[in-house]
Amino acid sequence: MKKPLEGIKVIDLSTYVAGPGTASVLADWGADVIKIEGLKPEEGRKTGVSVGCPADDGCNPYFGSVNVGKRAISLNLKAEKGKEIMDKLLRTADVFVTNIRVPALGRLGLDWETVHKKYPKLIFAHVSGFGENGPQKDDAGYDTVAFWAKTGLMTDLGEGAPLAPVWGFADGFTNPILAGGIAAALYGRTITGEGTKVMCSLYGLGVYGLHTAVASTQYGDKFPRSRKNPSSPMANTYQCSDGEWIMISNFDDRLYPVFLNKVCGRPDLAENPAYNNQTCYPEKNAEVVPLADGAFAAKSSQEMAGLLKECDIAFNILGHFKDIAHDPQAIENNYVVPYTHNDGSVSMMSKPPVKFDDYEVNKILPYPCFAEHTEEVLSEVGITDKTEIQKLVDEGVVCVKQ
Amino acid sequence: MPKPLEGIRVVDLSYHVAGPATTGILADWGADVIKVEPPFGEPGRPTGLSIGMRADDGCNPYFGIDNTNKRDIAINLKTEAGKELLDEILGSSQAMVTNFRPGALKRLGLDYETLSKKHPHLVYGSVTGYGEKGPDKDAPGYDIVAFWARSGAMLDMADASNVMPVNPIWAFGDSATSCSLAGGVAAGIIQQMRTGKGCKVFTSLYAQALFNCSSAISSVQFGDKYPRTRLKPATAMSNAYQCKDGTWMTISLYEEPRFPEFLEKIAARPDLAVNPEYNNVAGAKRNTEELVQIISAEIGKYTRSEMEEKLKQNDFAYSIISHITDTVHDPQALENGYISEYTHRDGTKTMMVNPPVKFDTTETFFRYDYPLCGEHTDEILKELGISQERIGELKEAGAVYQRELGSALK
Repeated sequence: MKKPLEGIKVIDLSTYVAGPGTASVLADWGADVIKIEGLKPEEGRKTGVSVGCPADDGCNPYFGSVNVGKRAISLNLKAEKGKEIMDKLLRTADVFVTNIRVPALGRLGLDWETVHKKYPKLIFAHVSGFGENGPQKDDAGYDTVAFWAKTGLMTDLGEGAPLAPVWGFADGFTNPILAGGIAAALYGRTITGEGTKVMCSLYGLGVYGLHTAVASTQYGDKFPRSRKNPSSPMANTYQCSDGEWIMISNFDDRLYPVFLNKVCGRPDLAENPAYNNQTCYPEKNAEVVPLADGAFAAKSSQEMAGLLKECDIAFNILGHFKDIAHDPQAIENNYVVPYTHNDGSVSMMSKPPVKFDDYEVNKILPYPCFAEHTEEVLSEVGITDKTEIQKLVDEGVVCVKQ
Repeated sequence: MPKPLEGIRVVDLSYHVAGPATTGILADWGADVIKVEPPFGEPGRPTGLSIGMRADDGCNPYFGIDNTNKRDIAINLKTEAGKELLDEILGSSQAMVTNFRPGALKRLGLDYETLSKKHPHLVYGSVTGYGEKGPDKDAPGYDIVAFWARSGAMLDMADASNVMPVNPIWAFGDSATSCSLAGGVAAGIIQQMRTGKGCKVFTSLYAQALFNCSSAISSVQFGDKYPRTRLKPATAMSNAYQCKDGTWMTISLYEEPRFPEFLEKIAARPDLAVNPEYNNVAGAKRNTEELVQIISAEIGKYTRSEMEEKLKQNDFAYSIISHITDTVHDPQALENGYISEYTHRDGTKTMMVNPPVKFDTTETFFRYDYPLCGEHTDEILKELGISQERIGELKEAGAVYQRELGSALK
């Protein structure tokens, strides 16, 4: 089975997670992705250290998770000869992915207007912190800042204290949808013959994530919520006798009587139209949430899980991150796969969430070392002569892997 | 400038949020999306009521967000004539998206195995709760269970000083998943264009959550601990701090060469700026608890505006920690078209979120109001070249239903 984007060439000029992750999804979908780094390794190669991961050429899981499947070239874009090589690369590319801020792109001559004029067929994909317009368009923005703090997600989801967000969480939104926008633009190009600017931002993705809350707060819905007064007692957390929490979720009116009868033990309420459908809530929360609290507290999480399954009510015992790498559900679906790093050590690595046709991870590609493919990529733009390449190294135009 | 997916027809066989949001994104990208509903309406139509919103024909914002720009045909898939009709629609479409559970799809003959034989060209997008394999493949899964609860995000992103899990926002996981699936369907369309063959594109809420949490899933295997607190974050260089006037802000710096500058200008510790025990990623990690105290004390001396000025001047990434209600009218969201004012059919205006990827322009794309159930039945049947006579027969047999504004639901 061929991957859908085979034969598509992508130039990835991006750092940290949002840009590199997008390009990595394109690689997962079959594209040939060339990662451009300067004369020094990209800063994102070190970020793993902050979360206690190894971050060297032998094993760099944090960097690796957003750079698998790419080839890496070191190229000085400030040098004239570096610009020439970039020009050759873009000339043969289908897609340019970047999260460099717009003013800096302009200084490199790689802003949309310039690039579109020179390479009218190229798809130009840009991720920013806060968007292309508005008062914060050129501000620095990581997901902690632009996605979590600015949108209200950080304060309004926590009960009693703001969240401690997981790094890179926003990029789980950004990467596949920007990759998808790029795919759509590639399709559009076959009709119009022209490249498109495809844009998204971490802030915009955060806003999209709370699309229902943006609507509901205009009707008086309040955040942060408390689990004592949820939007519905059938969309809430409850603690069991063994201390474990269970989240249940239901939006189907038909299951309200089942919940009231079988779980809460109140057949009378199950038949009472003032309690047995979603329109009764949140008004009746004050009565029903304590009932449910009591019912859950009387059972162990396993007993309650059995009962909920019997009732066909969607639920989950709240998990921990550390459980995921061993969860058969994640492993059997190839959401996490064992990954052998360059130094031979093995860890479980997340894979992009969209799969095509078959479950098999056809080939788990390596993530590149700094400048690992400089010579190979140069040869593809016609620079093969050893002395010429050495000259480029000496002049500070490229680095090659030692 | 045409939208990139102009000319692509997508059949939306889905309900609630994860499926409809996927096709909502594809509609925003220019696809002609036909929503197929049972004559009594999809179960997501009244959901807004649970969070205090209106949910009627004149104004239904919760349903509207994910269904704007679609047309709607009401088909009773339990009738033979209805099944045949859907088959004809699929035959003339490029893609379909569904979030029905596998059992229901099989019963309706809409599972991938059946459809890929009948319509080998079709890109088949599917989203489930937990994936198509594994012990929970058939379990029901909305986003708050399959995305939030299962992944660890609810317990492990709550501040560790807190005993309460996160209170997730409805449909947050759905919207994340829709981003991926819309992306995957677009990639599938590329493949279809090149080979003439369709494919199955599939994801799940759980898969999406794991992808969102991928850095934590990696790092816990190397001893990283969750839940965290802001007094003991991954690194003091990316953390929440409080100003003198009580305002909280998140500051994030990952660029190692700028650590000395931050320690000097924001932490006011020029001594640490030159100390290799603090001025790099590994040093800041080792001494994070101490650095949090130092930075907290220094930021606590300044008001919000003084601090914002300092951070802006030095180009450090930060944001005030806001509330969702602030976002609804945030000029940054409005100027980028992330949120725009929407006039519902009855004239009510609300601010609505738009799909997050923009092509060439940040203008909001609007083609159709979110549809009533069966609003475009006649129009779509005519487009398919179905004769007036057969349309009459289909209606007679209860296989299709044309809804008129103001009429009661079937």
